[in-house]
Amino acid sequence: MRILIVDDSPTMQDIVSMTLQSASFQVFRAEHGVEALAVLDVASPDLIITDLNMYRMDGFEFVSRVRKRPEYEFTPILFLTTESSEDMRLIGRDLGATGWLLKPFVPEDLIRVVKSVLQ
Amino acid sequence: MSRSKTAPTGNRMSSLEPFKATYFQECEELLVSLEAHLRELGAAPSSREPLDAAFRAIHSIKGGAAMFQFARMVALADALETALDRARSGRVAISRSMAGRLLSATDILSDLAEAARSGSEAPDGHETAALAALAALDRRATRTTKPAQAKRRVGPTTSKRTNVPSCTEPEVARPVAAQPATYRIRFEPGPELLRRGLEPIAIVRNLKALGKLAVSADVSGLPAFAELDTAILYLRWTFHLTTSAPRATVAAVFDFAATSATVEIVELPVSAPTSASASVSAHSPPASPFDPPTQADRRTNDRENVADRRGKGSDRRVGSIRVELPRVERLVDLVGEITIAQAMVLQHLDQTLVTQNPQLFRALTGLLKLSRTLQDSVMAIRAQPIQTIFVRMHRVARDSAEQLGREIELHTSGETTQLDKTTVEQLADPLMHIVRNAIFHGIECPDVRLAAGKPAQGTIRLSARQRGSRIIVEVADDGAGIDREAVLSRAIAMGIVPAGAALDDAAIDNLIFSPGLSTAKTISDIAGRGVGMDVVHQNIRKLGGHIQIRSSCGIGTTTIISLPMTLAVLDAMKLTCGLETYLLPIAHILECMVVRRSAILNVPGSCKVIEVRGKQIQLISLAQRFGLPDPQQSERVAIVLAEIDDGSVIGLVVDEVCGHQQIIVKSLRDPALAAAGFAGGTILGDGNVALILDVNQLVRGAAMAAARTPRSMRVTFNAEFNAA
Repeated sequence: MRILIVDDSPTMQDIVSMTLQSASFQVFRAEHGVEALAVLDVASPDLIITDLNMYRMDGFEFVSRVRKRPEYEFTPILFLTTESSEDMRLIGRDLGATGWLLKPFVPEDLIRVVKSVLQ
Repeated sequence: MSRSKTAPTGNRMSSLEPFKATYFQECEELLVSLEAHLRELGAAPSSREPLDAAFRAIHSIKGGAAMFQFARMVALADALETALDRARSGRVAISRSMAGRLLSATDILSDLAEAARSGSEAPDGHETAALAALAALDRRATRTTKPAQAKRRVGPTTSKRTNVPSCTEPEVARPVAAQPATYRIRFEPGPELLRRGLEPIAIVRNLKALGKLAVSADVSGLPAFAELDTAILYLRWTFHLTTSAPRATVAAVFDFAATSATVEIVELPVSAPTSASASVSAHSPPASPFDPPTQADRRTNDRENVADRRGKGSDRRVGSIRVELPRVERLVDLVGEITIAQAMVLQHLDQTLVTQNPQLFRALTGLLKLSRTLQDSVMAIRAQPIQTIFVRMHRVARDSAEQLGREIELHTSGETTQLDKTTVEQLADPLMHIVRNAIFHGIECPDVRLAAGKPAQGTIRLSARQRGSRIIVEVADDGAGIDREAVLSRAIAMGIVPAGAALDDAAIDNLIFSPGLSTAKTISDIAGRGVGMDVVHQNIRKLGGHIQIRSSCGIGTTTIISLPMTLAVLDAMKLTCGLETYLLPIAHILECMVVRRSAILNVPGSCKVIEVRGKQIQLISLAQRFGLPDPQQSERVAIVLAEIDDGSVIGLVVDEVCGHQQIIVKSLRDPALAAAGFAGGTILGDGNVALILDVNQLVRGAAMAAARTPRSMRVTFNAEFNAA
């Protein structure tokens, strides 16, 4: 299973990707929405995990653009963010996100959630 | 509940341990960026870009800190983030003083990060004042920008979100359901649910995690097999869930499905509001990706804010990877080895063979060019803008000025100048000393300055620029200048200089680098212990650099540091003197010339000079300087004109200039050699070892020698000082 991680923090990228790699997922990384869109076809992800606050292109913009592309209409997208405000979450939902995960997270929980989304 | 909310802390921390180093490095970069953007904001409070960039930086710092459970960092970062967020949403206007407070809080945050990195704990209450200052900003913001809202806020029951056009139902007060309740939930997903990447099975699983679940599926919507579209969901469900979780948590399970589904939740035993909507809480425990937030909702987010967040930032960052330093160092070493190997090949290559074979010549030239490019590229990996330490100096200046009751403005320029990473790191301490020194010894108290007709606020200018293969870093203050009388009498009292010695102004100024010399009347944390400048001098020398000071009374003092750009490979000119071979870094060389010995003039009682295009240039004879046996007095000598760090020119008298060579610099163990005027050693193509000349030290040695003898009987290049 291929997972695209979009986060502008190298630490977060590392943690998320190593966590998922340890669960035998294939991981692709991008630093922000622009890069993520650029690598989307190469990564051809089964799941996208994206941060919200990023430079150049934030998570909302990214998700809405992904959803406009027919081949990624069904691809599950999870937000992984420190943003806990409900308004934000609902915007995410309305843009077509599949779920909303909060940082900080426990690596084991992330694996569990990702598996449940991909099943 | 069938699962625990969080894994044991120990497990989480140990599984995250490997990422800490990455985080601290990222955090350091983010702090630098945060500080730079806040400063930019202080200068131009209404600009949007630094505000957004600062917000993103603090946001990332907080996110990482939370991941690693650095609670104190999280708390302070959160307060900073909140303040910046208010500014972003226009609820509070950034002012110079606000930027100042944010900067001070950033300083404290750096301390906390440093403590976390070293595994220690910052002093208790270290961040209390900063938190209070940020909280005060918060209160002021509420008072000044939202008076109406403040008035409306009558009691604790009023929603936090009164002025926020929310896209959901208002938050409902939810007593924690201690007693288990049973809910009947009708879930009728729209046909497009699957298209949105939502799996009903995940919802079932998440409900099951909340308590006892009974599921019945309605399959009446299924079409005939032939008409079945796998992307369309035809099923409906009814769940009976018995759980002690609050209703909102149950509703939250359907949160992301709600736009394409009808969800009806009815609480069975007790009469409950039967709203079909999935209202969610900000306090429910994490259960699934569809969960509501678990952290308390600390701030409100209005529409305007949302629009801002969705606006695009404008950082110009290029993609990067992180590599452990040892790997880069290995590359640097290898490049050094290649340089030596290459020199050896060239040394043993038959020159006629090369000249007679144009193809070999071309191939060889190509190879040399490539290897040079390789060197530059490898060294560029280690290059780092000096900005990282310049930014820190703002804090040093701020703290010191505050402590001493001076008013200081620090200007920086040339922040993008690149230096070797190691050099940048090692430069921080000396530079800090110099800046503190400038404030303590240089900048006068405001009343003194006013009396002297200067502005009350002192100015320190920090600049960096490249000159040849060296980087010049200057710290210039507009203070009182060095009190030469005090320095000289102190130096005489300490026996550093013999009584009655005649020293010129520059020589006196540079006495402040002597060990133990301090003219400070009081000893403080900041300066006056007399160890500072001496240690600075040594540290700079360790980096292959030079330091000197220029001062004019009442106008100010400038400290000039010159550093090699890279520590490894250097272009040098090979000079011979008798049987000895020396190397002089090409960056210093202005001109090489061969002159008749008779062209050298003896200035009575001083030194030898030569006139070049109408300008007299002081000469240093390497043979005399190093006490080499006088070679056969040939009629002609070679003179190399070299520029030293203060911009003046000196001529080195040698027998012959033998050409250009790339060398790798090996440091010298023996400090006496450095004092004698050598910057290091290297291995030549023929396998021999040669010493690299340090022109600045040569000149200084000559000046010292001159200074220590009374003016009337000055003898330059006195052999007795050669070893000094």
